[in-house]
Amino acid sequence: MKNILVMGSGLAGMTAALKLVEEGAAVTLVSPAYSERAQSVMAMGGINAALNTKQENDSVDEHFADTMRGGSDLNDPEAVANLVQRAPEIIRWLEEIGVNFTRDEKGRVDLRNFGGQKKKRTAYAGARTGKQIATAIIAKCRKYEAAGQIKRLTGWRFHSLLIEGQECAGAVLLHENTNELQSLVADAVIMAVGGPNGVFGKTTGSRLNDGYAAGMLLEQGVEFSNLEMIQYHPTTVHTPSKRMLITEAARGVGGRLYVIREGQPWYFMEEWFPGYGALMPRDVVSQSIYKVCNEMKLGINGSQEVYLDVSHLSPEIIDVQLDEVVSICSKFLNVNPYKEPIPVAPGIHYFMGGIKTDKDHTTNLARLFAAGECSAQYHGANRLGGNSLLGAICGGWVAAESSLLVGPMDKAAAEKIGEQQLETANQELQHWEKRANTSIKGYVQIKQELSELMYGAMGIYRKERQLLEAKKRLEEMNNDTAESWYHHHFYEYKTLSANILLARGMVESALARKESRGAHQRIDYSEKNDTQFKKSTNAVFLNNSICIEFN
Amino acid sequence: MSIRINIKRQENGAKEAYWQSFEYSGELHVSIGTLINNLNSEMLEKDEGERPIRFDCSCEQGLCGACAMVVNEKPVLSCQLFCDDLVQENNEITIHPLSKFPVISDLAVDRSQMFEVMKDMKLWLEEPAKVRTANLTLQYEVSQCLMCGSCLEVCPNYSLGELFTGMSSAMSMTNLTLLSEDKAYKKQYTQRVYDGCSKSLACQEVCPMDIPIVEAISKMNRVSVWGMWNMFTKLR
Ligand SMILES: Cc1cc2nc3c(=O)[nH]c(=O)nc-3n(C[C@H](O)[C@H](O)[C@H](O)COP(=O)(O)OP(=O)(O)OC[C@H]3O[C@@H](n4cnc5c(N)ncnc54)[C@H](O)[C@@H]3O)c2cc1C
Ligand code: FES
Repeated sequence: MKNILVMGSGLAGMTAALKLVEEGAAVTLVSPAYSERAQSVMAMGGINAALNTKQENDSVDEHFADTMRGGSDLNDPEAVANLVQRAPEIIRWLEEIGVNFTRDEKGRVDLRNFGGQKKKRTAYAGARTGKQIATAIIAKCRKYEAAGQIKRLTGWRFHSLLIEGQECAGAVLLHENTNELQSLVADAVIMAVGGPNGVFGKTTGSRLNDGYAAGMLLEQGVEFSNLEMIQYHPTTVHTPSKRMLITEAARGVGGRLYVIREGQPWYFMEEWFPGYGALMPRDVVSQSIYKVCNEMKLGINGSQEVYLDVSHLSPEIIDVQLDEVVSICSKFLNVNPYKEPIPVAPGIHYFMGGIKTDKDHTTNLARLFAAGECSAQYHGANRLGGNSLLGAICGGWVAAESSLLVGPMDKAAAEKIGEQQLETANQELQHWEKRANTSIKGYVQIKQELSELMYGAMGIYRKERQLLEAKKRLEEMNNDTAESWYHHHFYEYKTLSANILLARGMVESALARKESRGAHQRIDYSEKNDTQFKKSTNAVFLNNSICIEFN
Repeated sequence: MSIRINIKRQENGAKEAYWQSFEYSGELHVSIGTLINNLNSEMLEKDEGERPIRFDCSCEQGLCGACAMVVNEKPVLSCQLFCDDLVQENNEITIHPLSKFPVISDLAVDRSQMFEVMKDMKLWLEEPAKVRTANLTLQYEVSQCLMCGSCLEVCPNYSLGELFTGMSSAMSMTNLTLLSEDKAYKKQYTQRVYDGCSKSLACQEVCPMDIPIVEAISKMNRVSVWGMWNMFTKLR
């Protein structure tokens, strides 16, 4: 029986685990908190599948074309073909396991419009699609947990991979509260740890996705692709703790974007992009908002914000489909969206780049697989709304299927590596414990600076000079962290240097891509350059520096 | 304006709990979660070696249930409750961890028992879900349960490890019952919820998702307990 280690218990991790046990494998499912706390539950808008129930002649081919166009052809076409092909089957599976999708008048799964797609293709469950899907999948996992086939290790974090030659042999895990370490040997490891929000500090996503795992994997020689592709969701609102998402559904059901020009509302998206209007792909909407606020200086009171208006919609639509929007606005902004427009600005929302995988979700290391937002294959330079829940579930399935194909492993060699690496990890921990009384001033500053530096250099529009400055500063910061010390929490202490390394990967990738494509817009190279750059960036950490190639 | 924050602290389960007070004069239109983060930042700025306050959080927008704690004697999601709403009458805020679970550290508690009992009760579907559109709204509502533990905090009947498992499990049972024709959930419901519930309905007041708990359990009572009782009297 194969023994598979799955890191992360969001939708990607759980669907991988389910597929694995259904095929007779034993699964260890590791995450710092229960699946109810994973970022996946936050998804509101929906999940895409060309079910073609709206008399619009939708098809899998069109879903494919929209996804590739949205991703500016950096997506892996074979992977995308599989994704869109499997989408209807995924929706049927979700129905079968009891996801409470919103239904149309005939009792079928209802579909609605989402950005970057002209056809109604997004299935949804009220205003809480991610939560409703998670509830059903969690119940499904519970059955196998009770039978001992899925063993959940909750409270544990991925610490590092066990690597034997060019093969992954398992992983070292760290318990966040007790600092206990353990090493687990496995036939294969599937990474499903979500996006690296922590590198930027405030994003629309979950605090648990701190970016540690990605940084550590980069350090250990795992290849990453398209790290410069970071999605700014056009409609987020500022709160003291985070950026909060106003779902694309608000525009899907008819919400409009405007600013005041010469005393009148000016619906810039509708003027610039007749047909799609505010439902253009996210990168285009965010860039348009940037232009309106910076080049035309028409942002609300000179700020980076524009208005999102849903007040012309019927209250029933707002009640039913946008209740979350109402709740965010009234609680955090004191705005009543039934009556007033909502001030919004672009904010970091999704990482298209990540662990480089092929269509089978294999990585550059044998026996290591990756799925969900931590990995890159489906979304290219920009992901379409509703495609990432789909990508997480499909990716979980495919990674599971592929991981079952690995051959028998050398257990003894793996165990030996496991012992050695556990020893090294324990030594590092002891070293940390000994230095407990050193000052932490540097730590707090570096963390703040990292977030500011990244928001500055990796904004919606990027420039060579700023990127070079960031690169230089990140290298210095990397040296500074050796001097600063966070003695309150071992895992948090480790996270900082992992974040800095991943940040370097992002900045170097952005520097290397001397063109503008999808979510990556360069002021100094404002055109798309297909001859040189219709390829993915590939970042590797070698001899203490980041090397970028295109392939 | 300066306000006083009293927080019940405990380094870990093996150490003694103690109360600590903080003076806070920062921004007040912030959630309790942000307030604690601000206190921690101030502490770290000073760099006097003091231990930051631990609490769980993930989504910071009321969607994941991680951050439940007791504020001014009421269980709440700390990312959803704002300080300025609290200090209108009294310049003091008192915070302690959920009291029905073992403390991990400070305001973080170990809620694993809530999840474990649902395995014992076999709360999953054995057959493909049956879609009955009439039930959809209630199914949707009960599936919103965050497993935050607020309802158990105020429940006069719940304590850790006893037969009565409380409303978090009852919400799952309701969903599964509506989605299937399986009788097993009803039996579990009768034994582990109905028999132990004294209908204080305090849970309904505190549920952060406003799940219609009363409606859900009335439905369950109808289909499981009274349904069986009817059958029983007919047989007699
Ligand atoms: C507000 C919001 C709304 C969204 N709406 C939509 C939508 O409408 N449609 C759509 O398609 N997509 C949407 N998305 C994106 C989508 O939710 C995510 O991309 C998707 O859920 C990712 O799933 P995942 O399983 O890869 O990761 P996650 O659900 O993020 O899970 C990651 C898991 O890894 C764990 N983890 C983290 N670090 C470690 C570590 N070191 N070791 C072990 N485990 C670790 C976490 O605890 C968690 O269990 C939205 C995202 C946000 C933030
Ligand atoms: S942090 Fe998720 S509910 Fe508060």
